[in-house]
Order: sequence, then structure tokens, then C-alpha cells
Amino acid sequence: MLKMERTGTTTGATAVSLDAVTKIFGQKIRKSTIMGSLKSMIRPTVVKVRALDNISFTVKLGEILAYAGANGAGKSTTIKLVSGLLSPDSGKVTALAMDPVRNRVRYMQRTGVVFGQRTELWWDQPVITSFDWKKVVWNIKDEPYRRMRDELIDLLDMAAFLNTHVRELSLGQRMRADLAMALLHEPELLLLDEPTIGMDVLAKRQIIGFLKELNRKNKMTVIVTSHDMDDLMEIAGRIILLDKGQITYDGSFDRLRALIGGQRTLILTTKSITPLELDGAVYEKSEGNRHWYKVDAEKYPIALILHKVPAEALTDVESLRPPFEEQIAELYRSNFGAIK
Amino acid sequence: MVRKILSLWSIYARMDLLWLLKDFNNFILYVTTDIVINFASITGIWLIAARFNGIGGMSIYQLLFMLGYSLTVGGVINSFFSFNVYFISRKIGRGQMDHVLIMPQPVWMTLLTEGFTPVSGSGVLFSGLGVMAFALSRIDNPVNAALIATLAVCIVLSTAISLAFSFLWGSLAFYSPVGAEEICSSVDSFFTSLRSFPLNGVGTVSKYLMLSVLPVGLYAWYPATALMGLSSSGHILLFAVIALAYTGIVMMIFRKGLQHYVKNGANRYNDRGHRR
Repeated sequence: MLKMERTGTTTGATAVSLDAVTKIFGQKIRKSTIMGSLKSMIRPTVVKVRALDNISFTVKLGEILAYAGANGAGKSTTIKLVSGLLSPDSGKVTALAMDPVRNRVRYMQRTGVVFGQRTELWWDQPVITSFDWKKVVWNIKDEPYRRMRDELIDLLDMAAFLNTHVRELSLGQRMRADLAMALLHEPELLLLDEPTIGMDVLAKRQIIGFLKELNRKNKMTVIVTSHDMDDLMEIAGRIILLDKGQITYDGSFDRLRALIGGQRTLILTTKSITPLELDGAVYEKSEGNRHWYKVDAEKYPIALILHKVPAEALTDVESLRPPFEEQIAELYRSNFGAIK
Repeated sequence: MVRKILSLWSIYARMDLLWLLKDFNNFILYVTTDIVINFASITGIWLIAARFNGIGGMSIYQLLFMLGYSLTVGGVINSFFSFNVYFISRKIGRGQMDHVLIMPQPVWMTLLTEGFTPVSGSGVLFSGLGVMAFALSRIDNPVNAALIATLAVCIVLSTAISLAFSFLWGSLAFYSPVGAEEICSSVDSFFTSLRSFPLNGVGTVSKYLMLSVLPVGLYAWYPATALMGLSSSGHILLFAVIALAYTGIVMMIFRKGLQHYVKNGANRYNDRGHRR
């Protein structure tokens, strides 16, 4: 695994630490035949799935960590472990100097959790009632409650729907209200599992901007998972990539981009239908007199490649950068081991 | 701790009232249906008792007292353990215990307070109290502070037994979330259909079975007969011991199930019925 420099506003002390954590789930294998099903009833076949395999990492106080990986990579399992909803099979989880399961009550007083596809709000009540409910359950004193509530209403632009019943909110509005709920008690640690799922671009921008502002002002530690790499890149400075329960990359986004970011697709339109042979470019395909090449621009700058091509042979040149997500997917496909 | 519980009950009562004010028609429909269903569950027995002037050694008004007692216990459950707290298998089976676990308070405190709906849930409770008061006015038993206090304690104990029985079966959902998700509805149906039957004439084995393993007799019949002086007052003490033992055992079983939940996690999540 590559260890890169850490980025973000950190204070040096550790907020979250996972030490050699392994989590294994048993998965029953169902048979499609009647005989097979009958046999499974008596002696079910249980396959052990290693959701997390000897994972270790730390998150500094005030750091924003992006946690990414394909479906089933172990992202949600990690968030559940750090939330105290799940205990590890081996290894140790420590957050805010506590064991999240053993010290659940004290720990949750200082932690906020948002699961993108769940809500902590009361469905048949106005948003503000859920906030009042939170005040009682979390024992928030009057003054900090009012201050934080008003600040959140302002920052998340919620004044217009504060008295609207939760079931009548749009997804973006509900997510903002859920985020505010998680922050009302001014948590030191915020765990976000897919907070931007299903949201439109505008709502996403609003939430991402808000999280960054909160981290800058309050030095709150944030761990965020998402499928959307662009979102994560905007929020966090550091990213951990997971694949099949193992960390394949832990470091800065800049370094990750540098590792994979040189990939370009070069499309040359020439006067001939025969593709040119280019040093440093791998020929892929042709369509008439348009020819596709793959280039690692870090190793072979495009200008240098084109310098050797006679100008009269070219009609047009296009250089495309694949989306970041696609590049990561490609990296997974080609086995991350290559860059380990 | 008591202050926290009272604050929680207070906010839940406010939310229940807000729900009433928001949707009055829905509220009336909900409360009326609830009362009709509960009355229907005792009417059969009441009609038989009226036809034969009592059942199994119980006079018609003694029987009515027992039916009122059973309605009252149902009303307490409705008023204090709504939002699927009583139907705990739904909460567990749907993965909604995650919401309970991220609250900074003991699980028991959440379960004791989260289902408090004193406005929408009290229709059956007041009906039950009314039926009991009417029955008491027609029987010879002296109504004094001691009887009222014992009655209140018995109602709490019957509620505890009913809740414990529901949690006992509901704990199966920790191990089989899909299969046992609705098991508490079956437990409720079991109580609803049998809670109003006087067990006087039932055979000894069946009677003891219904006072222990399937504690339907403890829901109303056993405490009601003791309260009306049809059995020895020592039965109330025994009733308290059984209720406490039952609740204690179920708390251990539920705790074990919760540990299993935290060890294995919920492999499914469904928001149906969650905070709505």
C-alpha cells in the first residue's frame, strides 16, 4: 500500500484509529433445486465473506477523510464500526479515545452520523420539531442549541422549509435537514455515509461547501464515503481506497491524480486512413481517417509526441482526459497491485 | 435519570398532540378504529356472560371488570409503547435498531419513552378505565385507596408481562430478521383473542400453561380475580414475583440478542414505520 503525505487542516492528535480490524460476515448459499434447498435447510452452506481484512489507519483531529471503493468494498462496514453499530471480529477501533461499542452513550454524545439513505427526522412532524426532539435526547443546553440551530438554518438555507412536514420535503431539503440534525449537538466527529446520494448538482454543491466551511471553522473531523469521486475530491484532502476489504491506497488526492492522471486519449485526424506510428503513444483504433491512441502524458508529453509528426499530415488534434472515476475503475480492473 | 425520562415523555406528548392538530380527521379515524377493534375483542365474552349470567364462577359484572382491566392494559400499551416499540420485531427485523444505537442514552430508556403517545393512544385506555369503573360500581367490593393502588400496580405488572412476552418472541428477529419481522403481530393477535377468556373452567395443565409459558392468563384473568377477592390476596404477590422474574429473564434474552445484532450487524434496512 502506498503511504502518501496527509492533507487537510489537522491538529496532530488522533480522532479515529483502526488497528488491524477484521470483520467477517457469514453468507448462506441458497440452492436453486428442491433437493438442494432441503439439504440447505438441514446443513446450510455458509460462506465467510471478509468485509474488512486487517485494516489499519488513523484519522487526525480536524481532518476530512474520504473513504471510497466499489460496492461491497467495505465502506459502510467501516462507518458502522466507527459508529459503534458493529463490533470488529478482531483488531481494535478507537474513536475520540473511546471504544464506540463499549462507551456508546458517551461516544454518541460527541459524534454525528448521517446515513444518506436513512433519516433521523420525524416523518409526520415539521422539521423544527425534530430539532427540538434532538435537543431533549442529546441534552443540549438552551443557549448552544439556539445558537447552533440558527447558524445551521442560515448556513444550510433552511428557513423556507423549517415548518414543513418532513414527508413533504424534497430529497435535497431532507438531506440538509438531516445534516443539520447530526450537527446540532456540535459533534467533534462526523460520519457521513453517502450523504449526497440522489441529490442534484446544486444541492450537492451547497452541502459540500457547508461541510468544508464547518471543518475550517470548528476543526471538526469528518469521515465521508461516496460513490462520487468528484464529490469526495471537493470535500477531502486525503482519500482511502478500499478494494475487497483491503486498503489499496491511502494518501492525498493530488498524489492519486498524479499516479493515474497522466492517462489521455489522443485523437488524430490525418489526411490518410493509415494510422501514424507515434513514439510513446499506443494505437487503439481507427474510424476512417480518425485515429485513437492511448498516451501516458506524464511520461510522454503530448507536445513532444506531436513534435515528431509532420505538420502537413495532420488535420486536427484532440486530447481527452477520462473522468477521474473511470480512471479509478480502470485502476481497479487492472488490479491495484500494480501500483502497490 | 427520572428528569430525563420525564423530559422525553414531555417532548413525545407534544409531538403526539401536534400530530393530532395537523391531521384531525385522520386522528379521529385512528382513535375510533382502535376503540372499536378493542371493544370488539371483548364483546363476544360479554354477550356470553350476559346470556348465562356470568361464566365459570364469575358474575356478569365481575367479568365486565376483567374485560375493562384487559382493555386498560391494552390502552397502557397503546399509550406508552407505540411506534413499534411493542412490535419490537419490526424494529429489529427492519434494521431500525441502528437508530436506537446512535442515540446517546441507554437502549431501555429509548424503548421506555419513544413510543409515548398519550393523546392518540389513550382512547382505549380511557374506555377500559370507564368499563372498570362501571363494573366496580355494580359489584360489592369496597372501592378504597388500597384497591386503587393495588389495581394500578397490577396494571403495570400485566403491561410488563405482555411487553416481556412480545420482546421474548421479538428477540427472534435478531437471529432471523426477515422470518421473524412480524412475529410480534402474531403475539399481539394471540393476546387479543385470548386475553378476555376467564380461565376458571379450564383444565389444570392448560391453566398453568396459560399462566406461565403462554402467559395470557396473567394479562387480565389472574390479577382481576385476585383484585375482586375471588382468589387469595397472596396471588397478587405471586403475580408480582412472576412478572418480575419474567421481565428479568426476557431482558437478559433481549440483551443477548442485541449483542448478536452489534456483532453481526443488520443485513437489511427498511424505513417502514420508522418515526412516522
